[in-house]
Amino acid sequence: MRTVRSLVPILLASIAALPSAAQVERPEQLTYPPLPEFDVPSPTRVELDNGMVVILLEDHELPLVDAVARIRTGSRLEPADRVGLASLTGSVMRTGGTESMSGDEIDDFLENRAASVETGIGTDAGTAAMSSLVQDLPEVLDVFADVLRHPVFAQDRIEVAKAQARTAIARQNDNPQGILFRELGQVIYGQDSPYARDATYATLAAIGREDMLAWHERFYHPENVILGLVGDFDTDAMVALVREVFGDWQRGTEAPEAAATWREQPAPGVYFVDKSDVTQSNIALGHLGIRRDAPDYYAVQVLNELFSGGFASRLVSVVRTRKGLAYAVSGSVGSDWDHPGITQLWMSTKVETTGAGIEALREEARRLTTEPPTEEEVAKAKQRILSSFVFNSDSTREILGQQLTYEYYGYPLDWLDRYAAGIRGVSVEEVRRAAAERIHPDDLSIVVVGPEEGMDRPLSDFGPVTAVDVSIPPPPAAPLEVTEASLAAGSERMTAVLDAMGGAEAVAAVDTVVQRGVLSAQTPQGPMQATVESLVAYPDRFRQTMVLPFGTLITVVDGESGFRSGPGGTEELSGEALEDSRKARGRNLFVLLRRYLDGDVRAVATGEGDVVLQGGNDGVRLSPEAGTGLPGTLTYQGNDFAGTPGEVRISFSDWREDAGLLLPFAASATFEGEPLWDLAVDEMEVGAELPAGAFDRPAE
Amino acid sequence: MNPRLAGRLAATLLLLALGVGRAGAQDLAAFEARTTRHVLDNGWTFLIVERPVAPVFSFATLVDVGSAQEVPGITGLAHMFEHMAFKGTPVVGTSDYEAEAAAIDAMEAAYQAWQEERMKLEPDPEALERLEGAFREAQQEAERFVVPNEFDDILSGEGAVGMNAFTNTDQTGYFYSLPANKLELFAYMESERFLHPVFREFYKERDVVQEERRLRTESQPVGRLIEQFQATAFVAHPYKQPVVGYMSDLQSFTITDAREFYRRHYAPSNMVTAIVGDVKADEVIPLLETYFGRIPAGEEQKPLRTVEPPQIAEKIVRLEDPSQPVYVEGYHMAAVTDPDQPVWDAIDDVLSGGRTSRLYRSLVRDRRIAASVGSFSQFPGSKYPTLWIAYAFPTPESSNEEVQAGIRDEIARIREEPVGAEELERFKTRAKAGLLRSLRDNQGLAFTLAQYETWFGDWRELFRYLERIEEVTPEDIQRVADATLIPTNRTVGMIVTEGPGDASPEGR
Repeated sequence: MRTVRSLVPILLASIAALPSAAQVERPEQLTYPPLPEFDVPSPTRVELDNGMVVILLEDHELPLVDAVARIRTGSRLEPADRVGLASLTGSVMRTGGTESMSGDEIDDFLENRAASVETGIGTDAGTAAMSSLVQDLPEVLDVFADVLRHPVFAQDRIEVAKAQARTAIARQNDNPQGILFRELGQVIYGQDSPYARDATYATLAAIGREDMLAWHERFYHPENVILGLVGDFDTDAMVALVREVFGDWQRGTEAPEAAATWREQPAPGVYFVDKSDVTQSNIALGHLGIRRDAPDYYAVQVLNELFSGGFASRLVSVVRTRKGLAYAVSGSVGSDWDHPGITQLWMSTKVETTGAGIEALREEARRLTTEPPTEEEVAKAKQRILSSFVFNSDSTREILGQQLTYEYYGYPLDWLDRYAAGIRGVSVEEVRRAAAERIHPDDLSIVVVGPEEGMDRPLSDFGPVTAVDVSIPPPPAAPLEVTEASLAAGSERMTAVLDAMGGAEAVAAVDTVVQRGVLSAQTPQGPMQATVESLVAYPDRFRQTMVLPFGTLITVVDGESGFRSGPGGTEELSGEALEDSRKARGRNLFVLLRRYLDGDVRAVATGEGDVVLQGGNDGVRLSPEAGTGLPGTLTYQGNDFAGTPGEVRISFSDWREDAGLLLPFAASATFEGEPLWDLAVDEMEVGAELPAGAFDRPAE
Repeated sequence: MNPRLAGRLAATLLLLALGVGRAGAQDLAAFEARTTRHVLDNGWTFLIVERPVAPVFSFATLVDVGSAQEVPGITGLAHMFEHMAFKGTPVVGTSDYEAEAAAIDAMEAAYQAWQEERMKLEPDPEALERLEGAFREAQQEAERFVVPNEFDDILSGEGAVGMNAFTNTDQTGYFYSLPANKLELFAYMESERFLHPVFREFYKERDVVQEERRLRTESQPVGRLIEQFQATAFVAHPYKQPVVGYMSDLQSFTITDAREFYRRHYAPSNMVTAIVGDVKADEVIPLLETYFGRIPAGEEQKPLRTVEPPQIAEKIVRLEDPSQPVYVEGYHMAAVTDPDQPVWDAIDDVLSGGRTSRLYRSLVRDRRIAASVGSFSQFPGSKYPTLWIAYAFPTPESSNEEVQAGIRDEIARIREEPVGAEELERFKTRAKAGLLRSLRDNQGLAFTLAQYETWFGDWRELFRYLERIEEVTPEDIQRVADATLIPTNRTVGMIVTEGPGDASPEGR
């Protein structure tokens, strides 16, 4: 029975206008007119003399023009000790400015026009995109070309991108699904495969501006670029404009290398990541998938559709709807354009049904061969893919994007048409063969991220269990390079530190410092509290008095000698003890700063934004506090209370103003990362007259 | 594609976008010519936009009900109903509806009996076991008649894409796209699903929703923080409740509760559907009358009584969590229909819109204390008085305290100094271009139009908004910021890193 609907031929429309039964019983009884004739807009392809391919598609609906480009590059081409280079280059290419405009100028220029230019580099391609109102097009296209051709990678914007990348590393274990897919990739492709590895603090720290310039020089040439344009323009006029901004771009010398490697052998077994702050287990089963140019690709797509394409598919119907085990569940034979994808099944389920979840996924993988796809399943899956096919071409931006993809990976430009024909031609037999050949239940690696406690079954039921350590390797201590540049940068940073405290002049005026407070320490004998007083007279006199439950300890360093006195008497300092105390005197924050001002120590900038103050056979790393620029921490090789050598880090806080200076009223120290002591200062005097005889030995 | 029509549309919008004059009544009239508003006798409002660029269309149905309509005991039920709307109809999804309906009733009776025992102060373990067994048996009996996911199956078999739904504090939305020749299928399926809701597989689906809560809220640090933040910022208004619901409610609300919720809130007068694409209004409307006209009018939704009282003390939520720091602060503000909403949009653009924004330049670019920073108004909802929030993700070298100070500095500047002419102009240019860009997406446009119709009772407010932003002045910004962004009106939320997850370089 037919009723009124859009797009019916005129004849039927007039019939339907008569009073008629209003509707049908079941949706299958509805009949539909043919889809209206639709000429899929077809792009124009032009190749410039310098090898750049330009694909253009007019769309006059709105006064907008968009560009997208693919560049032959990718993070899979990075050296292993510079992982993160491609991603940083892709980001700073845009933010770091060009030879003619700073990053800030570009930001202002574009955003004032509601335009955008963005760049990035992924695993196997670089991208660049532009969007502009048609009225601003020539100027915005200029900026777009400038960013691609002449980026300068300004150092300050590199630091911003690195801080963002470090933030991502610090947070990489916060999201359980992030861990799941990262570890799945590492298990399947292998830890060192360029398709699986991730940046670390160490690889980020190793990346410099010169690496980015070299990367750009190596890959960003016209013959490596495919540029797509879509929007409100005339194709010939646009080609002329593109020639104007890209025509004189010279070809490069080196073609990018071929793709990288991955592990061919499956790695079955259970890989478990213990994460205690979640209420679900995140489960993935996987092995290596296929490339899109595989001969059975179309059969695989039909298989994926009936396996997990929507609610009525096998996986969703069974695991979610019938068993109520999961909200999120999915699976497919994975494919990529020019390297194998990952075939995977994944879900998240409450901890108490972890075993049931793994079992359900494994059972569905097996059932693809024990209960092979039926004719009805195959027919429905094909129908689902084909009946929604028009949505592959319902926007000009989508059509252009597809053309770029085919061009980039070397697929025929009519691939979409071939795809439809390919799906239509798939037989039940082919789908069954794909199910048998492409999914290997016994080869599946099982990755589980979740709490160790509370599972319904031991994970060892599913194979040998490997505990995966996902702890984040700490940043390396960068080797210190003493160069003219690092010294210049060091002195620049020190000026900033001194300015933050009140200025070099005010610091240079500090001759004496008296501090009184309470020290809480973690000693081998347990926690201990002491009242402390320290006197400093620049340049070389220092006294520390500690009042402890068992008596008072005084340490004095005066010039080249020193002594220690306590309940047991007084002893001269000599040898290592004298050396340690002299070093300690030299590391006092104010002494250190005055020594720097007097040229007694030099400041060497490090790659991490710190300075190392070197002099008198000691080195102290000063890390300016982000934001305030104050000397936030001092780090050096020292001892704990038992005399064990190791890294000591002192962090200053509670800055208060006095005598035109900001002074820290609190400090806390760690030894090799463990708490060592905390100091709360009650009183601090700068420039005070010191009591006579303050550095004298006590009378016997 | 009809090039003449597309050309006219483009010309209109060109004027509108380029700000040649203002987006005046002329421009609106031209867009209006392509947009038809049709209200059925039962109160269901339809908007139809003819955009014949490809033979497809999209729709969005917004029901004016969300978690704000829930009371203790049934939190999460608006979202649960959204899930049930995919379970089919008396025709779709069953092998024998008459028998199934009886089995569902029997299952509900068995569930009620079990639950009654379970909720007793001292439940009898033996009775519990027996009653649970009876329920499980009745559940299996009801499942015998289920044809799983047939609703979805029919639509995807006919080419539906992007089929999904959402629930927030204020609204429940349903949407997908179809080839243009399947308009009648849309009318059939979308009227049937609300004409006779079935509560098929209710208790199984309740398990799925519990998993959704574990996935999105319990196992995500930001999910954990936001739940606490909302619960703290609001003391009386239901915006304090999580949309997904509390676990205890997800383990105890019933089919009976869901039926009652449907009766109260799913009246056609509470629903708006926008259809955008290759459709013609004069062909669509008869279909709407035929299919959606069958739904009885139902009762008008009652307004919410509770109004959030003014905040008189600053509130702070510190979540100690084995994940990295996250900082957010929020201030109570008016609902989206307030005339000052464009002023808030200006504030957000100046503070956090892109790389020229003040928060980005200060916290991310210059001081490198945040990896990203943002602000937005209308959180967690829009219909009732709500919050403006600012947030930041500190870099490993920084802290919540530092980004807090950085955000406060910029808020102080907004309050103390008039915003520059270039910043304000940039906001207006971007707002106009943003609207223009949104017009090339059927699904997005359908959603936006339905939303404005739901909020204001008039979709044309979307375009009048362009006039309203033109009027925003630096004084407006200072006035609004000065009245709102004050300590006693503030709630602070932060994740403080504790425990095994402390993997920042500083933590090692």
